[in-house]
Amino acid sequence: MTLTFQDYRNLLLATCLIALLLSTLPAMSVLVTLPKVGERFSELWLLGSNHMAENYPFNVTVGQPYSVYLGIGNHMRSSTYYSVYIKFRNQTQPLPNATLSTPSSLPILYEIRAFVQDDQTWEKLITFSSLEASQSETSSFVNRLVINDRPVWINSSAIWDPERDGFYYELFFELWIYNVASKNLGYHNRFVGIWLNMT
Amino acid sequence: MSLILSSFLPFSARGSSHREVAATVNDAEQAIAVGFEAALDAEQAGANVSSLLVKLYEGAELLSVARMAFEDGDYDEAARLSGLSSEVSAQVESEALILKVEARNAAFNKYQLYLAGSAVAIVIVVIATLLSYRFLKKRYLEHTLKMKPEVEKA
Repeated sequence: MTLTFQDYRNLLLATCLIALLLSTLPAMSVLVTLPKVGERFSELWLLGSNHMAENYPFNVTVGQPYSVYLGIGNHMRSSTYYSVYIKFRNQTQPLPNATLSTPSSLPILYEIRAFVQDDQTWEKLITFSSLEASQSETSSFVNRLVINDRPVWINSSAIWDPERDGFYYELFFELWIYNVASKNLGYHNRFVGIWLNMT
Repeated sequence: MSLILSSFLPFSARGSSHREVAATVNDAEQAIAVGFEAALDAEQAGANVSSLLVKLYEGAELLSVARMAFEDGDYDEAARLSGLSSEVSAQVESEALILKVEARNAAFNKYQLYLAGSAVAIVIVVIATLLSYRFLKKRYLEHTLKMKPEVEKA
């Protein structure tokens, strides 16, 4: 089959159009920016003192310092302002409510703020110890904790747990996030914690 | 005279109230938020804000210590640290504005460069197409003229 002049002309025009389209791509790439796709979320984690998900403090002795690494991962597609509130509870006191997205009503013992860029992580070493604690046969009292060299009064008590053989408390970390629209920090519905046996 | 004296005396000596220092701490809190929003604006304009976020973290740390001092009743220290935190936030805000303007200028220059590049490429494509068309037409005519009529034998 031989091509006619019209065929050659059409081929040339098609090539020209494709080349014109390609020529406009650099300018178009600046004007048109594609939105980032995927879910927006934040990560919150605790690691043991050796920087791994093991060797978490558990059996706690008065006056002895313990440490964990607190980490935040930002996947919110922009830099984000976080606040982490550290709280302390016994087995009967309330945790944050995941269904209602509400934080625990317990008082904040310590707060840490972090500014994390998108797709970046942030980490901080948290050191804590119990300064004053006492116990009887059936109950235990923790009066004071030291978190990152800051003494805090807690006055928390726990009763003996016969199933797990100990007086159990939980040190937990709530993640809050700054909302640009409402211009305040709100609970981000994420928390992590470690159980401590203060026997 | 009282105004001069009050500016040199510490908060406690001036009889500064719990409320005054609480307001200073809250102002520092607001300043951190304003500084962050300015950094976010700069980031959306295309600026690298990592250094601003480091400074904001320093400001937030000062604010946290100020809050602790306030809770411990050390109002002078709380006021001093809150002031420092506000200064850091204000510095971040002004730096963020500069970065934002720089990022916008850089984006505009980049756009101008790309636009010029595209314009040159379009002109080249159009000229090349016209030349190719003329060449093609000429070759086709030459080819047609060289053709000999076929004579069928009877």
